[in-house]
Amino acid sequence: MSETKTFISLKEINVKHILGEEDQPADISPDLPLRKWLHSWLLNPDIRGNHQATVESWIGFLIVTNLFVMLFEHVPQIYDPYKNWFHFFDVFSVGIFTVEYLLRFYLAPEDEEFSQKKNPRLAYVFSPFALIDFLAVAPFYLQAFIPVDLRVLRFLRLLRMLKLFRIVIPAYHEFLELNAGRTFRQRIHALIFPSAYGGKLQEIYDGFIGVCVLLSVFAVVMESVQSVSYLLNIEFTILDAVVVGIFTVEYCMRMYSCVEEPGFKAPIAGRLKQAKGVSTMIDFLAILPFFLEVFLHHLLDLRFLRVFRLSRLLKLTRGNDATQILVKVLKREWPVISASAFIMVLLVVLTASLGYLFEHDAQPDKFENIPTTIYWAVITLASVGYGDISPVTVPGRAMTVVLAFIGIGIFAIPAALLSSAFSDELVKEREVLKSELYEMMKDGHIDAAEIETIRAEANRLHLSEEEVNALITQIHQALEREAKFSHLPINQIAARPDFALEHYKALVGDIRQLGLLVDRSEFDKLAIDKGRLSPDELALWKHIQHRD
Amino acid sequence: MKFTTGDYIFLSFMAVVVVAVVWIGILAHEEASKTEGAKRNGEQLVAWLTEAGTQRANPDYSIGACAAGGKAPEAIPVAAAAAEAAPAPEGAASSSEAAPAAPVKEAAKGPNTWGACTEQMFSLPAFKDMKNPFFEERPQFVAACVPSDATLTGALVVEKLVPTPVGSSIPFVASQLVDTDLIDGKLQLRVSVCDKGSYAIKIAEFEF
Repeated sequence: MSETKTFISLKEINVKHILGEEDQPADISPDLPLRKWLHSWLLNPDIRGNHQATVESWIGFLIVTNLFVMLFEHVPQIYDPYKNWFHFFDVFSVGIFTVEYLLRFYLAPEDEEFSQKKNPRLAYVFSPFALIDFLAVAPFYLQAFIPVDLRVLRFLRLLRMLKLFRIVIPAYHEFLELNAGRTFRQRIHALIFPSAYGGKLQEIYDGFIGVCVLLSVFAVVMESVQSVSYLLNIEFTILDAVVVGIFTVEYCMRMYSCVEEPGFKAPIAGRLKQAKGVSTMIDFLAILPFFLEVFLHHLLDLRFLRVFRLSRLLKLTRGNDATQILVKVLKREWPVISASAFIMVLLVVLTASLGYLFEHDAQPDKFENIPTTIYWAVITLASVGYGDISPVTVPGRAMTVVLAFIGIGIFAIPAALLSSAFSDELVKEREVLKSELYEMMKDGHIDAAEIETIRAEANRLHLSEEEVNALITQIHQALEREAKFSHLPINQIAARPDFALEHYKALVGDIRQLGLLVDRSEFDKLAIDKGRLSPDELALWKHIQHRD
Repeated sequence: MKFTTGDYIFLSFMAVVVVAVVWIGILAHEEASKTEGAKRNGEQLVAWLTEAGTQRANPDYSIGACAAGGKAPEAIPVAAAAAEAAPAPEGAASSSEAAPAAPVKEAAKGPNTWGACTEQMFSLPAFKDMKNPFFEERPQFVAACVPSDATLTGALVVEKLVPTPVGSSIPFVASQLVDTDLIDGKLQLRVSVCDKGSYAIKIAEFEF
């Protein structure tokens, strides 16, 4: 992989550029000849800030929409009432595709690929992509001259899907280039797992899986609408089979290539470790209902299995860092959360028992026994209060008042714990980013690889331009301070109270950062149990960490 | 790109997996098609009953057993008569009685009863070849679709809807239209079919 070494000095840092949000105007002269000007704005992929990517995205969107429209055309109950709309959409699509074809034909002499040919336009016409573009619109015009069977026409319209190759093939070539000399398994790994070898194809693959997940979940949701399910039962079945096929292949590829991941190297143990991972378990659950439904539909509740397919939505959490942070927080805070859950269970049982004791005689149908009263206890303690069951006796009501107050406090503990732990984790991650930034900026400049790291981290932590800017300013000031004092001996710093103050602030900042990054429980154990810090030192440490 | 033995094993495994998924997909499609077939049966029944509902009050209505206003069945076709002679369970009223819709006994098919009407209806050319796609037999009428009972898949459920008094929380009460029920007046009906999991799929509500 070739890496561009673009150095940006600290004075030139442009956060928008680092975050990739820069609205860089395209460097296209308005004095260019019309053909070149049009090509530069609409079709040239090498000019940043032009409309090429937008044009490609919209064309891609139109192609995918065409696919769905074609699917719906096969459902008479949908097609017949909206026949005209379907026709208008077809005309619109053909119009856009024709304009695109003619534009590419007109601009072919400006295209790098054809400009060197003797007859660039002829070369374009016979190029594979142009043939695909032609086939995408030709059937529409063909029917104007020759009576073509509607079914044949619909089949020919499927050729429009081939236009997607315009996006996939360049990505595939880039993928091959990135993976030259690598093994088959490494290539599978590059496609499935995010890595430096994946390139655009990996992004397309991820997007494709995401679309499959959304489609499949949408289908499950729509299946619950009786009128829709009645019409599209067969289509939903086919979609489910296709999606499960894709997910099954993905699951196998993931299991096969996971040994290329660091920490999963052993052929069997590594794969078992991968299979036990949460995200792989989710992948497995996403395909399981399909197989169970076919073989065990007389033993299992089909509706349960169908709803179970909604677990596919969890597949999208693979690329979602917020979910990963939440899992990390849950793992870290598990002992505290389980302790508060234990108290909650005690309180629920106590409330249910008291409720049964006071109310059973007055309302034997509602407070039948302690297990059935647990429902009322949970609803009351969680402040939901449906009101379908309520105490009527004086002691029962008095007890409910007291326990409802306690319940508000106890049931709020896990939520408060989680939210504070979540925000702590974010602060911690930002501090880590700050230290990374500090290390990166120590040499006085940022290179392209470092920009990529900052961009990825800023995206992961959902930092805005202002936040990154503030971090950079802080580091900048810290570096300046360090440069100012680092060469001074402590007695000279002490001689100047303003220097001493800045130095003190820097030291406190360092201690605070240390407190965020260190394993607190381990630190406390060493400090308290082994007596490595005096009580005053420990108190000061806690004070600086805002833990006293 | 070099392929190792492991790669070949993986590719072979993938081929087996893809074939298995395709095969299971075809099975699922076949099952779904059977449910579609059952729906078509229900739709055909609804279409016929709706059409009959508009004409059966006429004095010259040809399907006597289904006529409104107390008209006796004039001629039960030979096929139905032959079927009548065969031993059969009493009607098909409950979900546990999952046998195909059997001809009803004498008491159940008096003039203008639902049993007599369906008997005559199934002797018509339009219904003669009607089959439950799951069992390749004549579709049975059952009281309700019960998910735990796999024998009910593809069965038809015909319920009469009786409006409740004004102010009730439910607009009507549904009960199975059994063979002995008189049909000489206007009826509000609901037809459903049982899908492959024996869950009810509502086809339509209409006036008969």
